[in-house]
Amino acid sequence: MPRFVMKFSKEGYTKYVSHLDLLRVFKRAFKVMGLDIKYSQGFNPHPKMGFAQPLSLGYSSIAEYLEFETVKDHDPEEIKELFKGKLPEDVKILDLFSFNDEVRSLAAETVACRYLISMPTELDEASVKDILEGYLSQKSIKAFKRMKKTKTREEVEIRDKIREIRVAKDDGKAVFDCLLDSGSQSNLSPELVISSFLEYSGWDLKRWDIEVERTEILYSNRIQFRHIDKTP
Amino acid sequence: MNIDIKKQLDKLLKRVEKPGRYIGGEVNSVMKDPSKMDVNFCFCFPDIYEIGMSYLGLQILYKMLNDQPNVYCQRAFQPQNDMEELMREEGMPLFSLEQKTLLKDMDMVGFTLQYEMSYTTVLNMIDLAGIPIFSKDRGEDIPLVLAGGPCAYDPEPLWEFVDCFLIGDGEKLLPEFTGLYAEMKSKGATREEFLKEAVKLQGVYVPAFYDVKYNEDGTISELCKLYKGAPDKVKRAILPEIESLDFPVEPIIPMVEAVHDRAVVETFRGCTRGCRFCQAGMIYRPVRERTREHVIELALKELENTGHEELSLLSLSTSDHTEFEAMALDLVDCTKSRQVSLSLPSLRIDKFAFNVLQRIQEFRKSGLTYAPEAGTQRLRDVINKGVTENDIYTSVRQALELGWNHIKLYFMIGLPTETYEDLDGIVEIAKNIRDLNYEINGKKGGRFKLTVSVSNFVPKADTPFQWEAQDTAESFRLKHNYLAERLKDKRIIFNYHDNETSSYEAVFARGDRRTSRLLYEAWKLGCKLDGWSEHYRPDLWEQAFINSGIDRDFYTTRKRSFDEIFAWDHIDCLVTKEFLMKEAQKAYEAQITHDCRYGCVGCGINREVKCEKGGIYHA
Repeated sequence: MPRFVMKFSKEGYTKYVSHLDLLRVFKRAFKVMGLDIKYSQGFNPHPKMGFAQPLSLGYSSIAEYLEFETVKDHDPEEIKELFKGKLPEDVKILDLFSFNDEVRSLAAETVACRYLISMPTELDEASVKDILEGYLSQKSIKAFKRMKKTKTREEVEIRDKIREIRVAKDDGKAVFDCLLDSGSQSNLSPELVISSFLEYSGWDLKRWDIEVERTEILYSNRIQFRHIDKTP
Repeated sequence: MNIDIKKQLDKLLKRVEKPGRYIGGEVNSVMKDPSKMDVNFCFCFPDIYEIGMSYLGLQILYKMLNDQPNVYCQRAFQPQNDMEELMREEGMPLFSLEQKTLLKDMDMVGFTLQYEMSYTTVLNMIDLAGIPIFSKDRGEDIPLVLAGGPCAYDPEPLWEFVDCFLIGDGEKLLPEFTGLYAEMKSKGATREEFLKEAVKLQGVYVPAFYDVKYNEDGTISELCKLYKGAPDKVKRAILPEIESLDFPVEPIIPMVEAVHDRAVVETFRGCTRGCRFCQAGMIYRPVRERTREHVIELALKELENTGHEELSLLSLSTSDHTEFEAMALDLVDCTKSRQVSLSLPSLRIDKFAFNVLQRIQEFRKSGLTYAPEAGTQRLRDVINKGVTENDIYTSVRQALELGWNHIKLYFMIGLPTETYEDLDGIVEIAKNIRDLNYEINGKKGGRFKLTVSVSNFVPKADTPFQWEAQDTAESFRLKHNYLAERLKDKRIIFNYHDNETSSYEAVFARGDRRTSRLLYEAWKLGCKLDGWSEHYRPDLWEQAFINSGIDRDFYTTRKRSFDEIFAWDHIDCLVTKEFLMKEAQKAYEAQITHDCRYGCVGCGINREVKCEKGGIYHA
C-alpha cells in the first residue's frame, strides 16, 4: 500500500488546536482534496493516518509528522499541491515524501524529541548556564507526574531520560534546547523538566510565561528518511 | 491588529479549557485588513463557540457581509467562565476571532436573538466588550449595538441595551443597512443622523425614537413616537424569494468540534401548517422554496468543499417541500455513494417520509420522532396540529414492523383549554404504542424504547396564542407529577423541562420595556448562559424579580383581552392581528384551519409579497 509522510509546522494560534481536533482537520482536508486515503475495514471505517507523536496543547512545533496511506500511488508533489488552501493558515507543509521503510508506524519508532523551552529571566547567559549545570549535575532529578489511570500525582525519576540540555539567552529569555526521551520505550514530557527546573532554580515563573516549541523528532535506525530531510 | 492584545491573549489561552474556541483561523474564515474597510461589523452569538458555530444563519450573514468589498464581518462568542474570569482579571475586553480586533473599536456589533434565555448573555457580552451597557450612555466613538433574529419581533425587553433592531430577513436588510452606514460615515454623519436615516429602511427599529405610556393596571395605554420620521409600524424586511439568493457552500469549518458538525442546506423558509402556538410558523411566512435541483446542487458543492460526513436539510417542516420525496431520494443516492449520512429533522412521518427513511436507514435504524404536541384530538384541533391518532398508530406500526425500535414522542403541556383528560391522552398514546410493540415484536418486546418528552407551553408574540395565560409553575409541577406517575414503565422514558426557565422565557417572550429592568438586575447578579443547566441560577433570577419589582404573573399567567395594546404592536410581522384573533377564536371552538396550501386562509402576508404556495393544492 502506498505510504506517505508529511512533515509540517504548527505555529501561531494553531498551537491551541488539540491533537484530536487537528486529526479531524486533516481528515477533512483529505476528503476535500479528493485524495483516496485508505480506510480501515469494519463498521466505523476511519482513515489510515496518524501522528508520530502527539503534541501537547499550547506547544508550537516546526517538526510534526503525519503518516497516511492511499489506495493508489501518487507523486508526493501532486499531494502537496492538492493540500493548497485546505489547511488552517498556521499549519504549513514543510515536506511530503513516500515512506517505504518496513516499520509498523512512526509512533513506534520515535525515540526522542527536541524542544525549545523559553523562560523569561533577568539573569545573564553565564549565570543561567551555571544554574543549568547545577541542575543537570544532580544524580537524581525527581518530578511529580499526574498518572493517567489513577489520576494521582506520583514522584518519578527523570534524570536518565534527559539526553541533553543546552541554554542560550535570547531577548530577555533563557532558551533551553532539550533533547528528551520520547516514545513507547522511555518518555519524558517537557512539563516535568519545567517543573523540576523551576523548583531547583527557585525561579518565580508562572507556567503561562513559558513557551515550548518542538523542533525535532528522532527515530530509530529503522527509519531512513531523516537523512534526506531537507528542512533545517 | 494589536500586538499587545495578541501577547496578552497568548498568556490567557494557556490557562483555559479548549483554547481553540478563541483563536479563529478556521478554514474558510475571512481575513481582511480592518483598517481598509468602511464598515467593521462583529457578528455576535450570545452563547459559546460550539453552539454559535452550529447556527446556519451565522454562515449565511457572514458570507453575505464579507462578499461586500468594503465591509468586514468578524465573529465573537460568549467565552466560557474560565476565560471570562481571566479576561476580566487581566483587563482584556472581548475581541473578534479573526483579527483579535476589540469589539469596542468596531463600527457595529450585531447580536442574533434565537432564544429568550440568551438575553443575559447579550448584556454580558456588551459589557465584556467594554461598551457601555445602556444605549443612552454610548457616545459617537462607540460601536452601534444591533440585534435581529426571531426574538426581535418583541424587542422591548432589550430596548435599553440595543441601539437598533433589524427585523426580518437579514440577507435583505443588512446590505442596505451597511451600505447606508458607509455612505453616511464618509460624510461625517453622527450616530443620531445615521439612525434617523436608517429608519427609512424597511425593518429598522430604533427604540429611542418611541415612547410607551401605561394605564394604572399596568397595561399599555399608548405607544407613541418621539421622532416623527420614524415609521408608525416597523414592517419586517422581507425577501420575495430565496431561490436566487447566494448560499454559503464554503462555510467556516470549526476546528473545535461544534454541536452540529455537518453540512446544512436550507430548503425553504416559512410554513403553511398554521399551528397556533408556533411563532416561526407566523413570522417566516410565506413559504419560499429552493428548487429540488438547486438544493441538490448546493448540498453537493458544500459536501465537496467541506468534507463533512453528515448532511442535514433545514426548514420548519422538511417533508412539506413541494418536491420532497424526489429531492430526498436523490439526496439519499448522492450521500450514500459519498459515505455521507443524511439527516432529516422536522419530518412529518407520513407515507412519503417513510419511503425516504427506509432508504436512508436500510441497515442502521435510529430513532423516529413524532410530535403530536397534545394528547387528545380535541386539544390537537385547538392548537391546529393537523395530525390524528390514527396517523400516528399507522405510522408507528409500520416503523416497528420495519425494524425501528426507538420511538420518540413530543408533547406540550399547559396549552390553552387543557384539562387532565388531555394529559390522560398523552399516557394513552404512550401505552398504546408500547402495546403495539408487544403485538408486533412478541411478549418480550425486543429492544424497544419509547421516549416521551414534555415541554411547557410558552405563549409567544405574533401567534394566535399571544393573548393566552401561561400555566403557573405549581400547575406545571402537578402536571409533571401526574404524568410521571402514570408513565412509570420500564419501556418508557419520561422527560420534562424545568418550570422556572419556562416562566422567565414567558416574561421576555411577551415582555414590555419594563422587563428590561429584570434583565439588567439578573445580569448584574451574575446570570448568563441561562440555557445551560450548569450556569443557570434560579436563585439569582428570584432575587432579580425582587430587585426589579417585576410582577411575574402580570406577564405569564395573565390572560390578555383582545383590545389590549401589546408592547410589540409597533413591530409588524406582516401577518395581521385580525387573522391571529380569528385563529384564537377558532381555537376556543376547537375548529381547525386547513394548511393554506389547500386554499388561502387570509393571513395577510400576500399584501406585501406574492405568496406562491397559498392554495396550490386546490383541494
